[in-house]
Amino acid sequence: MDIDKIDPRLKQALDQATVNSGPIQAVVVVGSPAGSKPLPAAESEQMLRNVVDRACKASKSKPSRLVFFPNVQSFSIEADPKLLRHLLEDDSIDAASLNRAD
Amino acid sequence: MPIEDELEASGHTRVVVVLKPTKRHKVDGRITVALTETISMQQEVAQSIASCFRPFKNSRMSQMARELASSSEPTIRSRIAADGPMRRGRPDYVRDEHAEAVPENAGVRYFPYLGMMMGTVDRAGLAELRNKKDEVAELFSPPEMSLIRPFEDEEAALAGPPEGVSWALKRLGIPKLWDAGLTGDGVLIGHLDTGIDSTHPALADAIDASSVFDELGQQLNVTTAMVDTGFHGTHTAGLLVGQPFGNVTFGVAPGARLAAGTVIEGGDIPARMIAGLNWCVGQGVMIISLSLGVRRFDPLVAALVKQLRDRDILPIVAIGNEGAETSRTPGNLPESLSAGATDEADQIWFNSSSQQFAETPRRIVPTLIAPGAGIWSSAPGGGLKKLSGTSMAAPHIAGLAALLKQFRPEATGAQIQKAIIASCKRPSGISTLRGNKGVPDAMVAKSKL
Repeated sequence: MDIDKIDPRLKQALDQATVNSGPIQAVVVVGSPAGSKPLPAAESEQMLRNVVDRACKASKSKPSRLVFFPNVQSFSIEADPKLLRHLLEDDSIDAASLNRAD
Repeated sequence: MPIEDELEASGHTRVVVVLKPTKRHKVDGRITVALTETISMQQEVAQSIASCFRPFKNSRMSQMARELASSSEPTIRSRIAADGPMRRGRPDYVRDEHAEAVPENAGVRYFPYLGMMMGTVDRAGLAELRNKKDEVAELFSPPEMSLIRPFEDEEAALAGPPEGVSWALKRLGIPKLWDAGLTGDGVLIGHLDTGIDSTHPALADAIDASSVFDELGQQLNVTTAMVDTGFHGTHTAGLLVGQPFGNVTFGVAPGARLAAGTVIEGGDIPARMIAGLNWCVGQGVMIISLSLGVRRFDPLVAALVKQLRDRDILPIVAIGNEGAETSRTPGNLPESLSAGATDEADQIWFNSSSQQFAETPRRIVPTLIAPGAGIWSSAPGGGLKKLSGTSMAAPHIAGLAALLKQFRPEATGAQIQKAIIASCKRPSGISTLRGNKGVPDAMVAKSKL
């Protein structure tokens, strides 16, 4: 994922997280190939699930909370930092931010 | 400023706490917050920890309150009026009865629908809060409010609004579209704001659907009528779809209806805005009016707005109220149709944001300008309020887009945007850098569609 598209606050939260740190909340937008049509909601949700599943498998953990926003190809997630780090390595992710106000 | 730094500097700090416990239940296969039960449980918690907070004479809010009494500077007055905890005693202020669980003089505000409290604490109060493991789920420094807050002109407001069609509607040529039978009938507009006082007579039957979201964007199961958590949303909703009220006509598209999401209450939590956008799309809106933004470029918001445009949804966004050489995201994104504000003298409103970006070709925001200063519209409690801001300009343009959508239901968002921009003419006293394309003309826009 393009480093410029990660919210610096999220990056900082992940950098500072230790093994015993609690879960972190993030919001993530998944992109589409340039010029492609937007996915219908059902397909969008499946695609989002696939993205999360990949990170779950790689990190061998599951999010504690997960809310899909299929109409805007996005989701919010509360998960341990390890899972989120794997998630952000996924090439399909367009942008990600800490779910926290400034 | 981080909590510890602020404590060190001033002896107190503002914090937000997320309350425990939260009861959840399964509705249609989804686990969601059982709102009534949760509020009922958390009210007692809110009461029990309210003593950790207290007002401070030298806090930002207290200082502003003192300045209010002696200053005629509108910025200070509006900041006070806009910020909940210091608005005690204002007759037009609507509070949820659940929030009354916490005393008004406790230096804290309780957000029952979010299960959160925000207030000022000293070091002892903060330590006490941090020890309340059974009552406090999370504690953090509150955000700078991301709502594009309008300015109030209270002295002028005492005289009341002039009767008839507002100057803003006349300036845009909206009545001519009404004469052509266009009221926005059949058009659904997305409205993400502080909520709406749905009991206001000007907004009777204006809300087609409403929603509230928790901090992770999970939609809350709210069965009661929509309320405004401040006053901003009721005002912007009135400009979009308000019926004439008190012999004053201010709503651009009174035949249109709203899909209204409450996404701003106690802070700009990204998941709430995303959830609101997601929900609006699911409701079938083609136009979304956004009088909010963050004071920096945010790639996440940029990606979201791109998602909207990919779905042919037109986001019409206030550019911000911080003056020249400033702008907010998403108003400053190329995918947004952004609005700056003008006044009744057809001049740029002094605080209207504008910015030129070092891109090729050069790009200036806002896209256009529209009436936004000295605007009367509906207020919580059943009255009218006069406000100034780009928050008022954006719904005027979103309402115009709704009228055009009724005229050409098959038109895409991009076509409507193009027609509006093609109708713009910049007043001679406003530079390109401040007013960009200028002010739209409703009839010309219709002819361009």
